[in-house]
Amino acid sequence: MRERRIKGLIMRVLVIEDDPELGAWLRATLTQALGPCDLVTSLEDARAAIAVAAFDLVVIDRQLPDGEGMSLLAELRVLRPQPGTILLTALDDPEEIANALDGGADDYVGKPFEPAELIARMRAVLRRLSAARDTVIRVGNLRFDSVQRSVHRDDTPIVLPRRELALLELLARRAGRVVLREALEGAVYCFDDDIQSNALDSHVSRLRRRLREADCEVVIRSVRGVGYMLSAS
Amino acid sequence: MRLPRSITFRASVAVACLTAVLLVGVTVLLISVLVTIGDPDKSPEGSKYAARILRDAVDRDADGRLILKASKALAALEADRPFFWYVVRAGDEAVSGGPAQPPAGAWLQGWAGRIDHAQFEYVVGERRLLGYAASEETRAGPVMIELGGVTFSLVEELLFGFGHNTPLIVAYGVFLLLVMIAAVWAIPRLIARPVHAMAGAAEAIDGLPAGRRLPAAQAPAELRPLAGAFNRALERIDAAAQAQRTFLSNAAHELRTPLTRMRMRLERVRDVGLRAELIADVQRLSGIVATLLHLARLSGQPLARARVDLVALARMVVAEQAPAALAADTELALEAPRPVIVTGSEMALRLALTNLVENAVRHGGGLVTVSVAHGEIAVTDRGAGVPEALRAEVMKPFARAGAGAGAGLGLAIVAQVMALHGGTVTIGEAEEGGARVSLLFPKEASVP
Repeated sequence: MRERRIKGLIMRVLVIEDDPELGAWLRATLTQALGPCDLVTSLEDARAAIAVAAFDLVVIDRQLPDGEGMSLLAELRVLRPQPGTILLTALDDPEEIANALDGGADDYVGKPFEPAELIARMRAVLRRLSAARDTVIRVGNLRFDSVQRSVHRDDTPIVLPRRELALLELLARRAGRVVLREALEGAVYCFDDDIQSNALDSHVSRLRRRLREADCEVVIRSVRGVGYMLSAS
Repeated sequence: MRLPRSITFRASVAVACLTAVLLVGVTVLLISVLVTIGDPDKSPEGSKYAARILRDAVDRDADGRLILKASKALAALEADRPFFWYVVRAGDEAVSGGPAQPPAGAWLQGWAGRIDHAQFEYVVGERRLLGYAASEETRAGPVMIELGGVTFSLVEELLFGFGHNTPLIVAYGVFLLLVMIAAVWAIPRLIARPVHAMAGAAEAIDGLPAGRRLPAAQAPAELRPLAGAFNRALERIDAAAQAQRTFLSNAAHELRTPLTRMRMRLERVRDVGLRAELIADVQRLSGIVATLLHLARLSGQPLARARVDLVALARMVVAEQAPAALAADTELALEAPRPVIVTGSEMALRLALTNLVENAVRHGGGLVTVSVAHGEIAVTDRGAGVPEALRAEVMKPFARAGAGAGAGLGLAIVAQVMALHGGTVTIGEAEEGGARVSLLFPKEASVP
């Protein structure tokens, strides 16, 4: 299951949406893009579906005929394996978003949404979940094994010094998002190390050079004053 | 000088005045009770006073004879009281003075040595006068003093009473003085403390989250109606806010569901060019709906205020926006040399800054810098900038700086957020060209 998901990103998706037209369209679109997709229209049906099948991702509309979709988040969190959750809603002011994320949702998509964005976000949630669960993280043609602490470009091993390895792990786990400088510095240095203000930057540029020399199809973008972001190029 | 309109001030003045009246009134009353007023002729106080003066005057001369030393008090007594007489006896010796001595000695002699003091009345013509006898220890040994014809006026009684009961009077005075001090010192606190406590509780109500109330149950009876009325007003405000939230969320649902459906149906449009145009229209419409709802929420509700770390906020917003910006070939940077804290709503400020950064990325020119300084966040881009004539205009809702701009509501939201914080938005020019939009916070919002 894990292998299948990583390679082709095929996943089983549950959509909980009461609008019949939107629901049907979501099912059709997501089936095509991601894999088998089930559609239910109420919280009750959703609970029944969760009880009989394991889903990789659950897309929840917030305003459902028999209640608030967010109430399902707590029930989903205790499932093993834990499915990713994306809330779909017309309420998208910052407070509501914060409530949803604090309530345990992995992401939040406001209506109306771009189909491509929804699918991309679903993929991202799944990648994040598998990165947290899985020992092997893939970004582009780069493969990071966090148990063996090894890095491969396709099947060619890349040798990295200790600190650059720690940097890469953090960046790879959160690929596609900016990792803050503080987090990187915390991961790379021990307390007794004398941190020069530009030491992190020089480590990153050395890491960049090594990855480029190894023909990795990844790029580390810098956001000055904030942090770095690793993504497939 | 204008007297402060303070309840506590008036109350303590009233209590202090009352105490002062009590001090005088009760003192007079107390002394009147201690001494017998009524018929001054019957009061023994004058006789006792005279006996004391005589006792102090008794002495013996060089030959050992009993004498009375002349004293000012004795002279005054003899001068002021025409009926004053006395006999001081020690054994067979006697010293006497004054007119019309009644024949008391004879029967008193029989009691000599066994009498402590005695009081009697005698008659001179038609007047009944008071006589007094007492055994006293003196420098000349034990003597028997007999006297009469000394009566006190009311004023003298009072003064004499004072002299006799000094400790009691002083204790009473001290007690009343303490009451006065307590009135002046304690009453303001007694009244002011619950008022201050209530004011503190009211101060702690920050508008959000709803449902906070004054502790009416613990309030003193006098303040309870006020607390109750305040709480009922809060309930009405909460209800109005809740109604508005419900309305907005219904409006959001009703507006966005058809938009979502519309966007979905557009996927089926075959003509690629037409589809792109229609999708752009739906996106613009969605953007307008989103920002209008944000504006409605911001203008309809008080902000929950707290300490906001602007640097952390800016870092978060830049980190969030960076993936999309980098995908659009725009680099983001943050310049925040030192921590900056303000009082405000993190949610609202985040919305404002997100809008600014999105705007800047859209007009960007490849590099957008967010800089945080004391009381200020600025977003600088390398785009074409905003012509000076248009700067005031673009803050208004639905104004747009040229083609390709967003819905034209972003800056209106930013302006609204800053107005809620008592601050301002200014649009200027960056050193390298491009626009520089600054959010300026008022002095009182800055936390040092």
